Amino acid sequence: MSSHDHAEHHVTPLKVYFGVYFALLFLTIVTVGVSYLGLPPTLSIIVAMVVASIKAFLVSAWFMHLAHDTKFNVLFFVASLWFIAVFFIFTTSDLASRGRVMKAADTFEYRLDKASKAPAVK
Amino acid sequence: MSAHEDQPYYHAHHFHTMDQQNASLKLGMWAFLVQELLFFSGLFMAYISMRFFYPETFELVQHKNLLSIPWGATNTLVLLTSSLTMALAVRAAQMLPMVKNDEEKKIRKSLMNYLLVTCVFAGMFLVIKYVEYTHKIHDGLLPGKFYSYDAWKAQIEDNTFAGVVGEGGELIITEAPQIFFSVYFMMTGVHGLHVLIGVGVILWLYLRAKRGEFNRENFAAVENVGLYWHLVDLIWIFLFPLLYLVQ
Amino acid sequence: MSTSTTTVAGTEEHGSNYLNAKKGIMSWLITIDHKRIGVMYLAWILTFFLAGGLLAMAVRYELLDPQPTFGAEVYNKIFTLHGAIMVFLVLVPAIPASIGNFVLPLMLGAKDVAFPKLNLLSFYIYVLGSLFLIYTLVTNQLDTGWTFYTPYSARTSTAVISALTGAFILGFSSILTGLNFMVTVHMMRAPGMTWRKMPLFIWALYATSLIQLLATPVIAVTLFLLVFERMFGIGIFDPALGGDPVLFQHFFWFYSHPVVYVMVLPAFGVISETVTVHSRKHIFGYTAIAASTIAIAGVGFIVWGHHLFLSGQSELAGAIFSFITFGVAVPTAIKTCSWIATLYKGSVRWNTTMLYTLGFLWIFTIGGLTGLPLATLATDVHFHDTYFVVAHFHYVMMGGVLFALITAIHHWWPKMTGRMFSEKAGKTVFFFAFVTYNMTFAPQFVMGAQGMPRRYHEYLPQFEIWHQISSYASFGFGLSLVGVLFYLLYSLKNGEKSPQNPWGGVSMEWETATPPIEHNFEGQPICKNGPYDFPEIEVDPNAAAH
Repeated sequence: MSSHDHAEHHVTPLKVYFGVYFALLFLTIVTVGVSYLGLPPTLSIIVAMVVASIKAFLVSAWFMHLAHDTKFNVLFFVASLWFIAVFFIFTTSDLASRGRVMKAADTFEYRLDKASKAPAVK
Repeated sequence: MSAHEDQPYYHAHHFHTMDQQNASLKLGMWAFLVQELLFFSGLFMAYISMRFFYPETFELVQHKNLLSIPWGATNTLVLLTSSLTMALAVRAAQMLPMVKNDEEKKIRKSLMNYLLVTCVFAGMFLVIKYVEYTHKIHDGLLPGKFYSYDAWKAQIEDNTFAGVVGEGGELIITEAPQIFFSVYFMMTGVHGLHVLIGVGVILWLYLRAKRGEFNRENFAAVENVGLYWHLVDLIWIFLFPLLYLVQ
Repeated sequence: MSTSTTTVAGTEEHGSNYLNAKKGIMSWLITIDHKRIGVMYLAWILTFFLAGGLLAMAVRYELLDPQPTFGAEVYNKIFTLHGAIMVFLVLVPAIPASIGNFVLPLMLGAKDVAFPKLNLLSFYIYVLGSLFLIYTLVTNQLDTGWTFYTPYSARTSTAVISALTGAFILGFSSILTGLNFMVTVHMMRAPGMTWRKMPLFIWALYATSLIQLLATPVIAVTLFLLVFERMFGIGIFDPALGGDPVLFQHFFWFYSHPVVYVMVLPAFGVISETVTVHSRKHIFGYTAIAASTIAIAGVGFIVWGHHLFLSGQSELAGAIFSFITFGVAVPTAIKTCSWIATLYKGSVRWNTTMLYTLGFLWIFTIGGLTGLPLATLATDVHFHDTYFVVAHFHYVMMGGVLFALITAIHHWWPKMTGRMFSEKAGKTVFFFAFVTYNMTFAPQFVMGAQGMPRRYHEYLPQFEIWHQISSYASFGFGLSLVGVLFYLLYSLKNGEKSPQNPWGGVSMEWETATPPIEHNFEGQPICKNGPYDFPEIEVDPNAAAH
């Protein structure tokens, strides 16, 4: 393979590293602070995941040098996220749609039934 | 026959150039990281499913601060800092001159220091986790069948969780904190194991750096261990809010 | 036709090849030569194939009559161990780890794989994993079915944890092999070998490597969680502990469906090689086959729910998975049609390798087509957990992958050993194997359609005749496999010495010495022609590129 991989030759300036670091610290404070706001659960999860994703982007692009790496490594890394998403989405779609046709098959409803015995602890 | 005779010892025979070798090692490391991600994704899927089935439990555990947010946040900051020092270590290795002169000695010293500091922070992370784990064990908040009956009964009595105590002494509840703690221990345990392994590998790098094995042509090991370390940090970036923060 | 710029030494002049270059058992145990590693894998895999095969004979023996012979508990253990050994120890590494390891660097014009020491480590991890399965065999065995469904697998007292640990470790071997092959294909192709000049076997191994990297970690975490379910009662899979058993099935099949493509894609790759070389014809539809290989790998990841149609999965999810499963048949059909089109007007050589290739085409087509009624919700309601399913997967896995493995062993036997096996023996045994194979499994389609359930040791009398045909044929098939082994081993001492390129192949592995020297090539060969550009084919420069 003759194409040059420049990541080894590109030295990231110190200020970029520290800039990313302080951004990460800031975002951590944000996400902890937001958790004290008492948002409704769904919104709370979405905000937390968005903040985490931004942090993840910063770490992968600059600490892991993907911003200056060969395109294939970036593609491979991003592609794995696609497969993870497939796993999550398809499985959750099953969990969430049970009982649509037959009420008795809805395992989720079953759990919310307050009268049912939950696992006993001795 | 290719010129093996004037190849440095770190240039493997089946690669034509160092560029090819380094690019291959890096691609191999990314492939390894991809499979690590998929491994952790299974644990995240378990989290998603259990949260889906027991939403109130998860909300209540976080609401009642059964996990300590200050410790968790501290650990996040510790790990982020270790990521910075690791990145700086890679940067130092990248700048190591080929000849062993005074400048090389200086940069090599800073490489070693960065590696050591990374280990120290990683150690802090593990110590904090140890503290958290011992608290949980002490309070009986253990995974699955080891969740303490007394802790649970006390939590029902003080209305942490809804439920009643049946005639036979069994607990009839709709929340399942023992499942939350199963997920908690599984996820942080596997992550912690990866941190521990990382410490070992970084120490190995430290020893190699001390022996002067690295230079700006041959530092792939430092860079690739760095990638591993950043992945461990990445996982925690998602683990922390999901387990400690979201209500 | 020759594309290398330096001399390639033949066996006669050189005298030294990878087999005799270094002597002694230690030289094999610490080798980093991909060829020796491939041979060692082949030996281990075939040993476990024998073990799994004996268990299969025991299954068929139990089923000779409707009354119990071994009884339910023992029978559960027999079929479980048969399945677990065949899937994890045999089928997953069968072609990639043995033939792939041997051939891949040669075909690419490389001296070795990207990470030779990692390659040896993969082998030892494989051996370690197999020891755990042996331990399971000799202690409490396993009775959960190879699929380990919860809650039974969380509660049974058989040696589940050692089996899970063994499978976990074997997964690592698979991951590392995939990693190695993937990087090798990206980084170590000979100069001049663009992606479009790669043999299709390499495309197949590449796609397989991607699946190994992406899917295997998920089974690793699944088995890991199951171990903790047993040890700690964590409560995610067992309903009595608050978990969901169908969730286990989602986790399990997210890997176990793509893994069937890990098994079969290399088989497809082998067929692409043999169907061209032994008909002296360029492959029909190179781009289509390469693209469909990647497509199968990708689509294979989004169909796993077709194993869960009757498990309690939601109807919506079932419908989605069914629809997508039909889709995966399309690239597979493209391949099969392309292979047949390759044979058309080719100069077909009726040797053992070609016979096994044709046998594969017949068997795999049946196996693939019978997957369609299983992908269809309405019919799967009746076929699920019957012998129809058993017949389907044995046709694709056993007939498909195994016949392709046998094809590969025959095709590259001269290259690996420097000997020619007896064609007469090969052809004779082939006919016997092919007939007995079909007689073993075809009746199972009939039985399954009539309602014979799988994993049952006793059954209604109406199925007896089909079981008897199947069982006696299976004993015959087992004998035929012994026959194959026999004439192959016989050729090691007594076969005539192979010429450098007995079949006239034009891909790069045929440019090396036969058997190859230790570092494959003297110097770096350059790739000038495509892998199927047989010299007597005149290429019209105005025609569209193949």
